[in-house]
Amino acid sequence: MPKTTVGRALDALAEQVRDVDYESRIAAASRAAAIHRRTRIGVAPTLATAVVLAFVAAVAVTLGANRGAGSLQPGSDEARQETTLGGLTLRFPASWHAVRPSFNTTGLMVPLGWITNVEPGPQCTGDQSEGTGCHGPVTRLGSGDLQIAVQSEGGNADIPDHIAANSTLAGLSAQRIETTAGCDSSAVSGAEITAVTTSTSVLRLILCFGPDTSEQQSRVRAMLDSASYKGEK
Amino acid sequence: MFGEFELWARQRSGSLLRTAFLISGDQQRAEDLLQECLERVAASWEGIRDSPDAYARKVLSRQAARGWRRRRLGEILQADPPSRAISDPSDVVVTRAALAGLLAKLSPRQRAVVVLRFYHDLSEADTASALGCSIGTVKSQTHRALAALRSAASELADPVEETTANA
Repeated sequence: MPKTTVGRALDALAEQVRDVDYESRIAAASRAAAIHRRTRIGVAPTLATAVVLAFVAAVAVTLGANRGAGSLQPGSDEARQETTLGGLTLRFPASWHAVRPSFNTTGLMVPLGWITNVEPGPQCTGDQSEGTGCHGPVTRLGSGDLQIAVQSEGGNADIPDHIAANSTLAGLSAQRIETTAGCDSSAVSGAEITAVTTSTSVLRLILCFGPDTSEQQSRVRAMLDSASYKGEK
Repeated sequence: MFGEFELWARQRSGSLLRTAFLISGDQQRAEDLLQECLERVAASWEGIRDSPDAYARKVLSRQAARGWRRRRLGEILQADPPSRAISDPSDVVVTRAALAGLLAKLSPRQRAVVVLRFYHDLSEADTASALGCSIGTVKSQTHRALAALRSAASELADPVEETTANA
């Protein structure tokens, strides 16, 4: 396919780059990697400390999330809880976790929270105030694991124009795409549901599944079918 | 092990440097990003040897966007391009200086999206994977970035891009 005008302009701009001594840089990278491999064993005490800190952080995050996560709903076949994120109320198994973000972000896409059946871990390895190195509470999906990210994106009237509705979510017009693009590489299946909430904003659910999650996916379908939307408070 | 890495790195370093330059808008920053990227690829080579290009793009674009964001908090980014016009014989008449200036006004993620989509010709899904965001975010960021570029330089209007951006 021929390059677009912007693509050709970028090609021309890239010509401006001055080549460097690549050989010395490659050699330096090789040396750094070799040193990294040799010293891995030497950082074990630091890693042990990090694991302890990560566990403490995970407990704190879980406790903080549960405060806002809503109440158990006994009486159904499976105990359920509910949480409201960006005006979207979701009901899901009580054994799952609802986690709020522990970091700030300057992006237009704002993470509202995550729902997962995995014990949540720390969300940031970098600067929380900038959201640098931050991510969802589960970074690796094992067998039977799932994580659903709930995000909002707004402030621009163009956004809903890009939604080719093929589904609904909580009565909202929505587009569902089967993809793992927004997931960790450990996800074997996933979907992206974008629901139009106003003329200038959308809510987005990124569903990520590890291997062997057929049973969990039926629970997720039940959660999506029972979702309700009352708007941002 | 590093024989394979070095072979790959010799082939790809030039392209990685140009990508880093387009996203960061700065030669020195691009060189730093290249070094950081090469070191991370070398350190992870055993696990990523089957698809080092995708891993390198991911490392580079995410690091560039993060670094750019940090700089924006305390600094005004100054592109330093020559003022001569692009020599491309195509219909692109916007100058390098103008294009560098326009790119500098985009958000970090918009700039990374534009470079991955239109310089590397990645699909929306591959761009989303490289940046660790959703396809929807790639679509909306692409639309906003192109709108911003075109509003400032009508020469960059191209009907093909509308189709590509909305695909």
